[in-house]
Amino acid sequence: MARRMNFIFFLFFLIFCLIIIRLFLWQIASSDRLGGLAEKQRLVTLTIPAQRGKILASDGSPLVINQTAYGIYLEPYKISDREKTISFLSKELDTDPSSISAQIKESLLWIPIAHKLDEEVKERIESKQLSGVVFTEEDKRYYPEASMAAHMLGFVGKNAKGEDQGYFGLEGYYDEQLRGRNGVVHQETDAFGNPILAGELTKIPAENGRDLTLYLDKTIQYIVETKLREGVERFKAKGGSAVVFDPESGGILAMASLPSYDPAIFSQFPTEFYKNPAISLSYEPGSTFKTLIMASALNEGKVTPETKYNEEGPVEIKDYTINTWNKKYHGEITLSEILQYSSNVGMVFVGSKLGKDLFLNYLERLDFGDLTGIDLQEEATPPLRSKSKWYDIDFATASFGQGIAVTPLQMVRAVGAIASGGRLLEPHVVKSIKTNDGKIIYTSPKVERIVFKPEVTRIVAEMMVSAVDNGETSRIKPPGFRIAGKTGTAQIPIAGHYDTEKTIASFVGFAPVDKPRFVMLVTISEPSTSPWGSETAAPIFFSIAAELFSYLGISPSD
Amino acid sequence: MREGKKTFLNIFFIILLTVVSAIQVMLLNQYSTTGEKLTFITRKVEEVEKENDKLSQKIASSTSRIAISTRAQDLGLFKNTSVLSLTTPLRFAYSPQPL
Repeated sequence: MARRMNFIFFLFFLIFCLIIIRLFLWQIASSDRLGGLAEKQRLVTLTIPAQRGKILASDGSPLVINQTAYGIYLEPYKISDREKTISFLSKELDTDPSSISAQIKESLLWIPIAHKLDEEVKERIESKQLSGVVFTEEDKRYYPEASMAAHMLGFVGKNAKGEDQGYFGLEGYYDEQLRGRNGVVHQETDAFGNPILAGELTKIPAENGRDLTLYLDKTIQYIVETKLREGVERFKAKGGSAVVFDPESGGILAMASLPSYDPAIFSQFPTEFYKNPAISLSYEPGSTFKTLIMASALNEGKVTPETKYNEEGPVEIKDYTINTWNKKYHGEITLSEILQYSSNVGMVFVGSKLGKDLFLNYLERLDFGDLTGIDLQEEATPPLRSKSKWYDIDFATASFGQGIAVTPLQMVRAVGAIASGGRLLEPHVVKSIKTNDGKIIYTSPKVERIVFKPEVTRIVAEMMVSAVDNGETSRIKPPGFRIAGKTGTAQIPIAGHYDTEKTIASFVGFAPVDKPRFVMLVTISEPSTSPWGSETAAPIFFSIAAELFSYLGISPSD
Repeated sequence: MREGKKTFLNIFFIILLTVVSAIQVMLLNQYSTTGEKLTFITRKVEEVEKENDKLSQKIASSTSRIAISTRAQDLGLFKNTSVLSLTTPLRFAYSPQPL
C-alpha cells in the first residue's frame, strides 16, 4: 500500500515538475517569442500612407495634385488559366507577354506586375474576373495643366528601394517636404478583423507632405510656352528657353524650355530632356552682356554718359583683330550708341576703361561662376576662370559677351539687378509652404547685395530703351511702350573654335522701364531661318511682352 | 421566518447573477458590433475621400488653362490683337496749382 502511495506521489510530483518546466519554458524562456506570436494574432499593424504635397500656382490653382492609382499583383498559385491571364494583361498593360511570363515563378506568393495604373484600366481588368490577379491602391501625381512648366515641376519616380521619390525641379528639390511621413496604427482586432474598441490601440498619425505655392503665374507661363513654341517652330530652331523674373521679389513668374517632356509619362521621353536648360545650360551671352559691363563701368565712374568713343575701325589686341558685328564703323559715338549699334569695339573701349581687376570684381559681384541659389534641383553653373587665366584678349571678348559662359537664369538675374535699382536678388520659385497643421511659411525676397547705384541703373535702362527704339528691333516692338532691352547673338564654341553656322540668339529686357514689372530673357538655340537675336529671340520677346502688358494692365503711359 | 429569508436571498442572488450576466452579454455585444460599425464608417470615409479626390481632379482638369483656352477656341472666341489703352481722364475743375 505504502509503495503504491509512494509511486502515486512520485507520479504526481513528476507531472507537477513537467508542468512547471513547461510553464517555465512558455512563460519565461519563450515569453518574448510567444508574446509576439499572440500579438501578431490579435494585433494588426496598418500603415497610413502620407499624401504627397500639392504644388499650386500663385493663384492657388493646382499644378500637381494626387490621384488614386492601382498596383497590380499576381498570385501564381491562384491563377487558373495562365496563358489567358498573361495574354489579357499584356494587352491591357501594353507590355510584352514574355516579360510578364518571365516574372511568374511558382515559388513566389505574389508578384508585382505594374504600378500606377489608372482606374479605367483597373476596372477593365477586374471585369474579366481573372483569378490570381489582385490590386493595391497607390498614389499617383496628376497634372491638370498637362506638360505646363514640366522643367520647373520635375517628376516623381521610384528610387532603388522602390519608393516614390521626386526627381528634378521642385519635386527633386523639395522631395523631403513634399513626401511627408507615413503613419502607423497598432490595433487589436476580433476574429473577423474588426477593431476591438476596448482593446489596445496605438496610433501615430500620418504627416502629409507640405503644399508648395509658387510665384509662377499660370497665365504668364501659358503665354510664354505658347509663344516660345511658335517661335522655335517659326525659326526652325533646335530649342529655346524663356525666363520671366519679378524684379521686386526675385520670384520666377514663368520659366519654359524646349524641347520639353510630359511629367506624367516622363519615361517615354529621352533622359536628356529632363534637365532644365534655363538653369543648367551654359551659353555665351553675346551682346546682352554689354549692358552689364556698361553698368559696371558707369558705376565705377570710369565712363560717364557724356563719354564718347571714336569707332573708326577694327581693334587689334596682340594677334587678334576685333571687328564690329557688321563691319560698319560710325565714327564718334556715345555710350548709348555703343549699345544701340551693339558695337564690339566700343565695348572693348568700355571694358578697358573699367580695368581688369574691377572687371573680374563685377563678374564676381554679379555671382557669375556661382549658383544663384534657386530652389530647383540640378542647377549648374559654368565656372569662372581664375584671375591668372585671364589674358588681354579674354577681357576684350568678354566685354561683348564672348569667351564667357553663363546660364540663362544667371543672365536674367544679373539684368534684373539693373531693373531693380541695383539689387541682386536671389531667385525663388516657391512663394510659400503650407505645413500639415495649416501654418504658412513665406519666402521673403532676399537681396544678395547691391551691385549698382540706382542712378546708374536709370542711365543704363535709358540706354537699353534707346537700343530698342533706335536699333534693329525698333520695327517689331509693341508701339507706345518703353521697353529696355538688348539683343545678343553668340556663336557656339566647338572644340576650341566657333561654329560659324550655329548660334544662340537671345534678347533680354524689362518693362515698364520706370517701374519694371518683369525682366525677361529669351534664348533660341541654333535658329535656321536667321542666326541673329534681333530676328529670332527679339520677336518672341516682344510678342510675349505685348500679351503681358495686356494681362498685367500696363498701359503705354506707364 | 429564517427559511423565508434564505429563499429570498437565493432568489435575489439568482436575479442579480442573471442581470449581471445579461449586462455583460449586452456590453460584449455592443463592443463587438461597434467595432464592425467603426470598420463600416472607416470604409465609408475612405470612399468619400476617394470620391472627393476624383471630383477635385475633375475640377482641376476642367478649370485648367489649357481646357479653358481650348473651349474658348471651340466657342469661336479669339484674342484681341489690337489693344487700346485709355488714360485716366482728369477730374473736373482740376488745377495743378493750389488755388
